[in-house]
Amino acid sequence: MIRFVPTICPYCGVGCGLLLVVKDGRVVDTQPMAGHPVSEGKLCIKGWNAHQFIHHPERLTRPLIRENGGFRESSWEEAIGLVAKRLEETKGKSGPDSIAFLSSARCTNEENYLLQKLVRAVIGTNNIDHCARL
Amino acid sequence: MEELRHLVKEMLKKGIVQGVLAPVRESGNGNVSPCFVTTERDADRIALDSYYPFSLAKLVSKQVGKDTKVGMVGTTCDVQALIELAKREQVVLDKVLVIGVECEEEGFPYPWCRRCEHLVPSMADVAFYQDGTVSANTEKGKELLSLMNASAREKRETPPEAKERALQRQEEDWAKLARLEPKERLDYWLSYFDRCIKCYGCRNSCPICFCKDCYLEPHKLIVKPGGNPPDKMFHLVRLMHVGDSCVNCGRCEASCPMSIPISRLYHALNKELSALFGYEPGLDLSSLPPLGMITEEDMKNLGVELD
Amino acid sequence: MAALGKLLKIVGLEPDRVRLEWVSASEGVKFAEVVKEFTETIKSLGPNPLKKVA
Repeated sequence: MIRFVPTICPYCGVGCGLLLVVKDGRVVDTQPMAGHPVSEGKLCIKGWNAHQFIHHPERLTRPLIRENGGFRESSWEEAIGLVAKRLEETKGKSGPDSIAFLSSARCTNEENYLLQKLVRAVIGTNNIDHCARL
Repeated sequence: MEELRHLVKEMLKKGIVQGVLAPVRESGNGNVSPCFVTTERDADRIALDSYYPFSLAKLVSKQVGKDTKVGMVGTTCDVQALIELAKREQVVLDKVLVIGVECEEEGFPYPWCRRCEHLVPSMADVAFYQDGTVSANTEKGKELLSLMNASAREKRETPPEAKERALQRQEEDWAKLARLEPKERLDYWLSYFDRCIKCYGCRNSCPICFCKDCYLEPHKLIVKPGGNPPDKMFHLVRLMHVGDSCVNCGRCEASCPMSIPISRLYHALNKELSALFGYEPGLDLSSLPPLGMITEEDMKNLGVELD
Repeated sequence: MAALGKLLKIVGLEPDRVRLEWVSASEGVKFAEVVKEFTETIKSLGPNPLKKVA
């Protein structure tokens, strides 16, 4: 069973249309989306390989916590709990402006909005930037 | 088109194939996209009234298992590509029911379509023609057509007058380049290659390019990792590898974000090599590609003049 | 080689830039002559146009 699933490339801000080739439940290939108003059926090298990370053997599937010079696997609850605790501690000890946040073009607009809301309203700092500005 | 859709539906109903790879029109935005047709609803969306910039032949070779029986609906160039892939053992033709559709002369507004001299898919199992008739070109095709109560006509070839006109248009397309001095011609091509952003779109969309261990990958050291444009050898190496079998389907040029006229070069070389080796790609399964599958001995026996 | 010649011509590269010779390790004299001749040919054709930065 082969399906062609239309989606938008997750990489840069252009937003090229592409089709994910799904065979028996696994994403095996990428095809450009013909007639897309932005990409016009063409892709750059990142777009052509947009599917590569999905089932990649080295893809992280669980949060990792740095411990004793290495990493150990943990759960989402533990990892998020640890981050919340440390943010609160650092904000309390050194003030909100001692923390900076770096977001990504690979996040959706909605995710970026939420992050900056968290940074500005909850943490109380303007120290938020984005990988596209680097 | 209705007859074709009806045939596909019958193929699915009778369980002759797992599915049929065909170009379909999307209802939302009107674009054409590939589809592995398994339902009547999908069959109703099959559309060959515009150029489709992906190769279904390539999709068959990459995604369909060699034991799976499928159908493929395509234009002549895509069917030719399938034959070429079969020669290279990338496709088991016995397992693919090929339905070709005749192209209208200069039907699509692309330079490669204008140059095309193969309007009729005589190499397909079943061919649907512009005038609505259909023919069974092979035994497989005859069995397939018996599913429909359509009266089949005799197998046709591309009319010689149409071929002549195509050859004329080919000359027009290449005339300007042919008249240039070699240095100017080289400048023409190098200035286009300079636009290349190494997206590998041409290689990825070309149905003849099937190598899993491609020589254009950086670990082969011809194309160094990092940096654009890539070494000019990128295009010349690929030209040497596929040149003898280029079927002028144009997917390379259609997928180039920098509008490099790739098929103008590749098709031109293919015509030269065709003349030299007496080989026309994509028409006859038993005729093997000269570069890589035929020995000099064979060629001497065939009477090919090699300088 | 015939195919390569056609490719070079179509792209606008001088076919004389490529030459195929069969020389055994024991044919020292022939080897020297071939290399001398070919060096002259290449020198007269000039630097490789593919190397220039457009």
